Amino acid sequence: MTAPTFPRFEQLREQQLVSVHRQFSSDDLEQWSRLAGLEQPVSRVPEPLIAGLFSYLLGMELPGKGTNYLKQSMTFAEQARVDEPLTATVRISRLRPDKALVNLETICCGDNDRVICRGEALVLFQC
Amino acid sequence: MTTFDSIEERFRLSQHDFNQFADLSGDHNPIHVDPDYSASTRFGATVSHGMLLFTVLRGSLQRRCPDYQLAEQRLMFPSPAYAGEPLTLHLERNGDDSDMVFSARIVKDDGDVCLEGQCTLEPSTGNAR
Repeated sequence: MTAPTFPRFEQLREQQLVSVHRQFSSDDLEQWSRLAGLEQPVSRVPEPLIAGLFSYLLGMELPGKGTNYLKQSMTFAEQARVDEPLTATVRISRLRPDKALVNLETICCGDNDRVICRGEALVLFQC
Repeated sequence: MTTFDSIEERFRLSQHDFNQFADLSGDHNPIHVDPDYSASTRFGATVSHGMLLFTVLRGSLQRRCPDYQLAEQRLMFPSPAYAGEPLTLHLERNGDDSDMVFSARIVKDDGDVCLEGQCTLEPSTGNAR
């Protein structure tokens, strides 16, 4: 019995990173508020939209399609404003080929590189 | 000050909700938005974005504790949540001290857990510092 090989996993490297630039409009905040069951729209970018930037990067970019999202932890330092230009980045911090697990650092910054959110993600990538 | 010790809220998510969250997040992965594709995967149908589940949790906290903001959040996504499934959000305050720390779970009727986490709230500063 040999362990299964995951060719896309084997292409991953520690310190590899991807980023996305995004701003959220007041329409985005209204749409999110409806999904969240709120009668009054929120006035700052809600944390699940910040987290959604990380999950977009993990699911679509790094590692990409086939990613199974297991865990995310986040500390919110500041709140992002409507229309504030945001940059979210995920960076591979640890690879465990025996279990097809990938640990990543996640960070989102706003204007002048002020930190909005820092955290860590764990994904399973059997691809 | 508004707070609570424990709550339960029943809800369902629809494919329309998945599509809306895909538009908001940019995560148009077919496992969330393409029922035909998803039927051939190990899940057998589209599944919710994890952060859409977090959205429901965050909305509930916002309604009940409008004067607080989220300082820290831990999330785990053990089981997939499907469109149309009845789900229950459970929130429970930890301990009896002044900390606003809550355990959160979103559970299916069969007991499978779709979201498990911990939320730490702090009094809102009311501005984007």
